[in-house]
Amino acid sequence: MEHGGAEIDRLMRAGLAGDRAAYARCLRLLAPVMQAMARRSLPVMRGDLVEDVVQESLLALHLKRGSWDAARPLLPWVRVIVRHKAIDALRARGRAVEEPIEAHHDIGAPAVDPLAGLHIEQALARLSERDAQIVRGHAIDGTDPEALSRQFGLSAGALRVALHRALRRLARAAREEGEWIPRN
Amino acid sequence: MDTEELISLLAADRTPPRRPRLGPRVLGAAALSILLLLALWGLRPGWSDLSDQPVMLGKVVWPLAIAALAALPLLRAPQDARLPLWPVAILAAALSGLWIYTRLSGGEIITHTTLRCLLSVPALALPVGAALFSGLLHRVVPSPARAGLAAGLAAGGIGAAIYALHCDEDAASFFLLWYGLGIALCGLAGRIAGPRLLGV
Repeated sequence: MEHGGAEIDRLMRAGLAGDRAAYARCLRLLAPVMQAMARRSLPVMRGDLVEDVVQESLLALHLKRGSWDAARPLLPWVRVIVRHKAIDALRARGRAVEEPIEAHHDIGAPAVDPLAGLHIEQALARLSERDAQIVRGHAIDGTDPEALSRQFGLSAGALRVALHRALRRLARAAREEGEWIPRN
Repeated sequence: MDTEELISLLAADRTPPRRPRLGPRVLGAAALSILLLLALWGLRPGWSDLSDQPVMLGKVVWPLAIAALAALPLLRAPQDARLPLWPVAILAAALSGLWIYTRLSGGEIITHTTLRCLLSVPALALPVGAALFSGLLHRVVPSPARAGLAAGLAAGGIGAAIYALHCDEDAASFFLLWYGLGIALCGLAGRIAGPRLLGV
């Protein structure tokens, strides 16, 4: 663990300095560590939330990585993020589960099937069509940025900004999830 | 989307990381507030004659002390540590005691500038508060209510210190009360805004 922590720190520093391969490797090393942290922070019965918590923690870590104090080890900071994401997940999903369906006789079929896939996937459904396509193109189909720029008629810089904005919106949508499910 | 896909997505985001840089943001915003004061409020007349008087100095120093005690944990403490607010609380309690003493000694509390004072402190604090919040948005904030309160108090303290350059009420019973209430208003605003805007 100690050794792994030092390696993760080194990779994150390199990633912040612009080494994208190191950054991706750092996130890949972090994912199982976050999984273990999430499992410890969640009640045994809510193992189904682990992957959600990991994904939201990765997203939060990514958007706020610039605030990591590189003089300190990364993992304690990651632990704070994961613990809070676990609490958020329990709060949001706990409340949504307790909502009696009889109280919502006026709702039709939900726009998003709550069982279809992970939390991030649901948040993705809240993005605009174009944003979601950019995100999917990048993440799921692995389309290279040049092809995506051509497809959406965006310059490389504009595509970069669009992707980043889409990520921010994704994070916000994931955070507001608990508030929007009952209203839907 | 599975986690592996999310990771490649995040690694593909080439927007450079945003740094919170709270210190420079606060200094810039305080400079802006000082310019606003010079342009819209104006320095009090006779500033240069008075500046060596203890009361003038005290009027600027105690709000700055509140601001410093509230802001230093935000600036210095690691993000995963709990923000200590007790130093501000102790100073606030001491100043409240001092105010009761000045009031009992017959100091004025209501004058024609009361309302202006109460509104000017939050107005001049607003740029500083906005700067602190914009920096904190890029940070992991495990206790957003506490951080919001600290940011609000820090902004209020700086706003009050800047307003003191204009205000010509030199009775301690007056400025301790109204600056104090103005700073408290800012703290309350930050306490309310924190959980809405900040987070992990």
